[in-house]
Amino acid sequence: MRQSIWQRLPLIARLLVTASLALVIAASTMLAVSVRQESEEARHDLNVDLAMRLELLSTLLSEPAVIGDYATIQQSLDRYIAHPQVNSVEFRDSAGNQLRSRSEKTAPSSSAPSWFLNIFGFSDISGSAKLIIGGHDYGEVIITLSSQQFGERAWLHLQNHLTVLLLAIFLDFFGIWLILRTSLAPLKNLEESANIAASGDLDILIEPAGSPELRHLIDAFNRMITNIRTAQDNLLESRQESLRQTKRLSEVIWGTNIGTWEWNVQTGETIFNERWAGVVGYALEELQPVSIETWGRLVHPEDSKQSQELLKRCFERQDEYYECEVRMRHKNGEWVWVLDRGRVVEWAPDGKPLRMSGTHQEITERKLLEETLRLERDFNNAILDTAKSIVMVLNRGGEIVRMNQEAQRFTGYSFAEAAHEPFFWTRFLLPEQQQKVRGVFDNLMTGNVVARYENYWVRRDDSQCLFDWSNSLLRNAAGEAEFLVTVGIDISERKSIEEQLNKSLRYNRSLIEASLDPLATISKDGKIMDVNQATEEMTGIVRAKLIGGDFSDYFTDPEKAREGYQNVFMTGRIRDYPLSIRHVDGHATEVLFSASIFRDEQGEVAGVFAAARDITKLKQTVERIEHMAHFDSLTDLPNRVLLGDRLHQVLVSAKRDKSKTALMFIDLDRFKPINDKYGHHIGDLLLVQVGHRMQSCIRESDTVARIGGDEFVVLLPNVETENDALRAAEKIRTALRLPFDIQALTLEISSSIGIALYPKHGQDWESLSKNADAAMYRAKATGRDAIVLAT
Amino acid sequence: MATAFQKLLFLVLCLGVLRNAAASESYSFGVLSQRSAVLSAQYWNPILDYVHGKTGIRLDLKVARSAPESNLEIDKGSYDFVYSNTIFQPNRAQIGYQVILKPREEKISGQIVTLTDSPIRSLKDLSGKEVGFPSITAFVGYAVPMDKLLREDIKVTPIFGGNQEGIMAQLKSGRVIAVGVNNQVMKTFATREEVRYRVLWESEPFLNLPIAAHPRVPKNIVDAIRKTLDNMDRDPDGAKILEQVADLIKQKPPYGFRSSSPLDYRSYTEFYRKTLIKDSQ
Repeated sequence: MRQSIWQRLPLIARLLVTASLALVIAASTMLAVSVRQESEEARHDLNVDLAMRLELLSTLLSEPAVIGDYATIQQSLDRYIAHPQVNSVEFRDSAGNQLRSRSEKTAPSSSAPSWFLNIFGFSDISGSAKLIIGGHDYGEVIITLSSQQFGERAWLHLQNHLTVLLLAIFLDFFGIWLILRTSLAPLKNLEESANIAASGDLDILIEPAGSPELRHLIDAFNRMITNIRTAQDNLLESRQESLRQTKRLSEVIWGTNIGTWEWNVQTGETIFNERWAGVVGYALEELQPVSIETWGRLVHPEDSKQSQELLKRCFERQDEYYECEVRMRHKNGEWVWVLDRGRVVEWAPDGKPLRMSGTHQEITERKLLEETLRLERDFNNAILDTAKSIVMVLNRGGEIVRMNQEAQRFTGYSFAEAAHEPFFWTRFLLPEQQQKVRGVFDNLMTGNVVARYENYWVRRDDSQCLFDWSNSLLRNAAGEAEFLVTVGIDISERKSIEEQLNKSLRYNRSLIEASLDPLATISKDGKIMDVNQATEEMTGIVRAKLIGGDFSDYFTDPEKAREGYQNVFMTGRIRDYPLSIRHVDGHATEVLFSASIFRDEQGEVAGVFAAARDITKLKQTVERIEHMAHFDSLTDLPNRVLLGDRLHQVLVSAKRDKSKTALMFIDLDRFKPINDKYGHHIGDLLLVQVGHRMQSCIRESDTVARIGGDEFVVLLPNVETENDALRAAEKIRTALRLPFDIQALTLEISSSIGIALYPKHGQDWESLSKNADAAMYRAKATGRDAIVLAT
Repeated sequence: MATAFQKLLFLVLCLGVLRNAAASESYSFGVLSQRSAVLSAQYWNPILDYVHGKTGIRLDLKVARSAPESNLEIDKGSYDFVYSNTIFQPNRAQIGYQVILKPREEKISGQIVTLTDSPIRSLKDLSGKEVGFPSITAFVGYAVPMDKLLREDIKVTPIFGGNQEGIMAQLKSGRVIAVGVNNQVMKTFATREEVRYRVLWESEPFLNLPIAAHPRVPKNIVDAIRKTLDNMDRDPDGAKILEQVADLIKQKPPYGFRSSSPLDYRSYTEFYRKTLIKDSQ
């Protein structure tokens, strides 16, 4: 087929033609657009210039137009025409009179061709402006501007651009020619090298040259050649490595002492290795010629049947592998156990097995070991099943993996029922304990030691028993807990006895605590063993601190306490032994102790049981009775009994010291009317105040006593003279004359005082009181408010 | 005997004929050159157009290059109507221009002023110095202040600026240190051009420039013009025009004209009778 001109053109020519055409089209378009834009800009500039000139000229001509000074207007026009761009200028007044510049311009010949000016619109423009002043038309100015200089400038620009365009096309041609000439040389070199490589010689790397693209191409060629060389080397190395691996594999198989076999299932052709024969004590040569029949002769008849069934499953693709433990007749006549394993390695298109390969491994020793283990397990099972404790083995998942007979008997569940369900055993627990025991299980399985614990188990018939559990972990080789062995003993009966005992102890304790008297048990060496609450209250010390302390530390007189304690051991008991128990705040409580020894199971004295009785209130009562017997209940002054005692003592010492003692009998004057008028209550209050006043008048060693009604007696031991007694009596008399303020009443009384002196007026109470009383009556008789000394 | 109605009808018809006759004529209206010709045209043309619209009488504005040229035209009797106060000069009395209208704006007075920051503090300070005036024909701008200077025996060298604002512009630029001016024109100029000035002396007030008619103008024309301009500020359209043109030269109200007679301008004639200046034109 004949080629077109374009197809016959070489690459250089094609590039030259297309590049030139592109340059010419682009440049022409650019030039046309540029000149058109220049033309529009020139027109715009001329319009702006025209508007400005019209405005300026109107302003210039307004004044002369108003005045009517046409000469000035003409001069302005003549000057204005001199502007280079102004072609003509003209003024027309409102009446149509016309003034033009006197000199007309003749346009200089333009260098730009007229067709150029016409095409791109370079033409003169003119415009006019009216002179309207104060609403009055004074005429108009008309200006015509030339565009010639803009046209010429655009024409010059076009010529310059065309020159540049021609130069660009020339440089373009030259550049393309130069680049291609230098670039095609490496391409030719590449072509020759590729041909050499195709002939099989790969030692032909090329030096990169030319443009970056060509260099990349040559680099890619070189990489390709290098990769082919590397691939060749790798292939060779791979082949050698394969041979080495085959050799190593053979050595490994030999080292593992495993026999290998290959069997063409269709033809019966069989290949055994040396070890296969060695398993049954033969050298391979001794078994030649070998076939599948060789295996059939040596295998145990009972195992052959099982082997055939497994092979059938494998051929029917039910099993992926064939694996069977068979006995084979050893050369020495004994049976050896062999693990026979194999796989179909090639299948016919119709699904039948073509070729099978496998191994023979002697496992006689393992089989013996398994038998030993089985016997061991049976032995353990026998022990577990005869035990009276519940024994269960749980795995990490909480499943029961072993459960002895007792466990099955107690729970009512067989091992088959209980096994393989995680945490089945939790149903043996009370519902409220299930969560807690699960926590115990988790703790144990994470290796935490949990002490023995007790809980109730529920039988299938809902009856319950309390069990005491102990656990131990079976760990795997890594030391992790694998199984939990838990052993439970029924402690229901024991617990019942313990409960009864505790109940009894609590009862005894409550009896002790119920006692309001302090109770304590004290060891032989004097240490407190136990106390009740009353003891805590009396000492202010809590029981825990008291126990263990020395009992004598809590008494005000420890020595006396220890003495009493020793008496208990000597006599077996003591009763009402007085002591004072010391409270931590410092006060003491008077008690009477009673104590007895107690003995231990062997009859040996173990300690002392002591009880204390608080006698504080008893003592207070006695003191109060004694006070009532000696003091006047109204005035709290000594009464007649106490006065008698004191007089007796005073007289004894007076006799001994030969000193004087005065006895005053004082009777209140006008007391009865007051008592009658204001009542006994007022009278009693008066008597109390009288007592106080009397006491304020005497010495500390003196005694004021009330012996009845309004009668008082004052005992003054150790008076020197009668005057001493009279001064004391006068002091009392004066004090009693002062008014008494009692409940808003002001009461006034006086007193009649009779005085008897020992030994002058008597030696004893009877004589002294009689004389003093008689002297007091005399004082009354003299008109009251008087003091009379006995005669 | 003609009825009253027929007489009235005849009178109206005669007035209509007169109006039509007047409408076919045009009269020149000369304006004393106080401002630029363009500003004068912008001021007076709307007023004269209003008169034309109301009466049909065309008044053609005439503005000379300068005040002296205006006076030359007045001397020749070129203008049918004139807006000038130079007509009261004794040498122009025989021309016979008769005052027909006076401006409503306040009276004018002559002033001698200087810039606020000028060292000149009193008229005596001007002795021996150049003092600017609008033109030798200006009444309150030259004759009145120059008369004062002569009476005070202060010798100055007069400089003329062509018109009022012309010499004010020279004061502003510093070419002259003091000027004699029309007080109202000065105030308007100072406001517009933001010039601060000090008044050294001010004359008694004079009525501003009158509009006068040449004796050759028919009386009915004169009356029509007088009546129209007299009423112009009362007519809403006229008042609007007066307000607009006043704004051009920053003129203060009241705007418009009132009928007048030479008697209103006796102060001018009195002045000329007594003045010491001899070169006033």
